[in-house]
Amino acid sequence: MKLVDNNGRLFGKLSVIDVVVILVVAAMGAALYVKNNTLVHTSTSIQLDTITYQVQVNGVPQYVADAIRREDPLYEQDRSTGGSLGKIVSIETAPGTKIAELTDGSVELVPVEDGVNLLLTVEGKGIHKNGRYLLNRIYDLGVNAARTFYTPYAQFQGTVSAIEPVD
Amino acid sequence: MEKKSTFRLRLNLFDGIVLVLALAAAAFLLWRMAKPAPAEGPVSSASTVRYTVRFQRWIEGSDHMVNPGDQLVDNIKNNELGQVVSKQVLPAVSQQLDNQGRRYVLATADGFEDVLVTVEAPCVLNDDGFVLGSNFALRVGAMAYIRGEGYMASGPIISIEREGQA
Repeated sequence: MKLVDNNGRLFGKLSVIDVVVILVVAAMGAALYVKNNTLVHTSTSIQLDTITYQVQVNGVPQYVADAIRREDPLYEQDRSTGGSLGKIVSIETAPGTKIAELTDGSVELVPVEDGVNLLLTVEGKGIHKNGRYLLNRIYDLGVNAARTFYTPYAQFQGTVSAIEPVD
Repeated sequence: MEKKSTFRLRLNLFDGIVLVLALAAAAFLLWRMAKPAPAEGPVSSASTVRYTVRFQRWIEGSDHMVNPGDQLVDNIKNNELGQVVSKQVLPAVSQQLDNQGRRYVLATADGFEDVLVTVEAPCVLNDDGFVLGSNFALRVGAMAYIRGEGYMASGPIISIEREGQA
């Protein structure tokens, strides 16, 4: 028996075009399955975890500290399209300090007149997998990440000082 | 003898499968287009906001140029920033490193003054906050570069009145 007969059918039964169509449909189905079930970023079946992290804000003016409130949503200046990175659930304040390069060659944290240090605890939704924290599925965050954050009322520089999933 | 032409629709199994898949895809797309949007609150709303900006390091005595009713404009993107409501003159201060005292201090700049200007502006309030003009994001701590009526100024936004706040 010929592999392809005079009518273009494989083994005289299957049209080559039909086989191609079946393969394309199968590939599309497989891609859809992988997207929705296997890939962490796009999966529709993965449950989002609650992730708590802390942001250290050093030496901001008092008026900025006054403008940051509990329950305010937190965003990041350069990547706001994914939505809020969570809500501020607590704010701890301390006398302001900032790093300074002194003329004696030393570098140290020194007090700031009319400055405040803030430790913001933020609770957001995201994925915690393989040591990565992805807020809103897409926003990579980790300890020591320094960012320009903002709330609807204030903007400030901050550094993530702790992050962990909530059980 | 005349050949009789008759049209007969013949579908093989695979044509049938493709047809069913295409119809299913079309039905899904139509359903997605036609289904009503989930009920949500308003994404944004028009409002009025009152805020204070600190014009920094003005030449002493030049505050007389700022008057209630002045229209302020964003000097970078020409956004309308609102109308001056009131002003308050303060000594000009800036944060400097005191190497001997090993601390940052607020140093007064002789010959200069700071002007606290309270402004009222129409705005759009969305999830991100207040937007003035087409794209000026109003946030405490952000610097503003401003053009007034015959003067220029720069300085941080130092307060935004929240809803229900005096």
